[in-house]
Amino acid sequence: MKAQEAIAYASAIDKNLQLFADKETVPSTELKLWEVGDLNHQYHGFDETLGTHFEIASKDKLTDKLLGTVPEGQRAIVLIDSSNNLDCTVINLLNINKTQIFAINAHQNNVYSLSTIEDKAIFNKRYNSLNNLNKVSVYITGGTPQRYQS
Amino acid sequence: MRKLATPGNQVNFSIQTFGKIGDEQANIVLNINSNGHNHTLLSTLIEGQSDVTYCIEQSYKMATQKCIHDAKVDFRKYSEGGDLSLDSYILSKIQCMSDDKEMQKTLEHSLESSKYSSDNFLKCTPNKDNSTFTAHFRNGETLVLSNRLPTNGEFRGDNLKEALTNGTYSNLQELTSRGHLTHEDSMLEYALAAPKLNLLSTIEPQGMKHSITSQLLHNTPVANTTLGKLFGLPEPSIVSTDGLQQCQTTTKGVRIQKALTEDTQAGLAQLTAEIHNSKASSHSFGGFRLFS
Repeated sequence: MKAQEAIAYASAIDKNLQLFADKETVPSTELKLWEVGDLNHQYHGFDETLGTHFEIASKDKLTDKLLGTVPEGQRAIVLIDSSNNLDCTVINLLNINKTQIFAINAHQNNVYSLSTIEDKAIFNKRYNSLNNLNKVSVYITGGTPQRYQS
Repeated sequence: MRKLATPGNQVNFSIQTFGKIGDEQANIVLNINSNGHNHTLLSTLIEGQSDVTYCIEQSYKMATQKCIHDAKVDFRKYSEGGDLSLDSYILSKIQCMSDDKEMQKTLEHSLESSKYSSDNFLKCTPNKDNSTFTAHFRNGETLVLSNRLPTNGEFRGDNLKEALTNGTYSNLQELTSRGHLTHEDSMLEYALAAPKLNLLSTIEPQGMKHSITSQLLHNTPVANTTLGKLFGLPEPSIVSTDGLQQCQTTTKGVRIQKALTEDTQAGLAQLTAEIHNSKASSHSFGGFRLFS
């Protein structure tokens, strides 16, 4: 999948999470949802200096690495590039608290609850094995909406 | 220089930049302050717009990282000293709520009483002297509270009336403990004021507004908030809206927010499906799928 397509879906999710977070501190925030529009728009990429980058082999647990990078109460966009450069997966990660950790692949329409063993296993199996070695970039984009913190 | 390069002297080093992003020339100066005297160790002229931008951004990054280090040290110091305890926080709130010592004592002794809960709250009425107002509760209970202007966000006047009227609290303890160790906590703000001011004097307002500074500070948790929030910096967005479009109405947003409040996972699934379908017509995607 083209990087800009993957980024567009993840960006829309992130922008909406930002809206919901803003709504809590600024009640007048209008909840006008962000949607994917022009997929042919040129994607300029993230500022690499603002991200955390690592490589992950298929035997590693991606979830452990991700949760070691994104602290509780924060959300992030995760780019997973396979070494053959044919695949690019973009995930939204929300680490709300220990019992509420979610990964979203909006392009595939999947939501994983990473606080459950089942979803964690499915997620690791799916995204660890894109190829032998994947390059992962994690960009923390802001906080999670506080209201959902139990 | 070897004598000065010790961990104890770490705080005395500073890097200053003279120039702005976009300038053709800038100076980068490495200083050390030793016994009140400032020594310049290095002064370099940078030329070319992109080199100037790069160097200035790097200097913002270094200055911010130093600020983060200092803030963590100061937070530990104040926490260990008990200045940031919940008791101190509540006491400081009570001192804002009333200027009258007797009323302060009443509030302090009634913290756990359910007489002063949101369920029992009736209304606020103005008093003749205008410097106070009266909060009325059921069973004839009243509290005479400060109506002075909250110039620095103090818990009095309109701020206090708003919390009493629209807040949910089972007693005064709950009312006054809200915001402890968050960006609303003025004690926390005070405790970390020195690193903030040092950063401001090093990188100046334009540096504080830069996305590198803001991003680093917003990504640094401190107590129940982040340094970015505590320093009052707008949350930067590294996510572009290129290729996105915003709905004209709030219908979908309000529906998803409600779903999120009731069940986070179901709400996220709704949001994901909405985004997925927003462009689904031009792609052949599989059906909606939600794990567990």
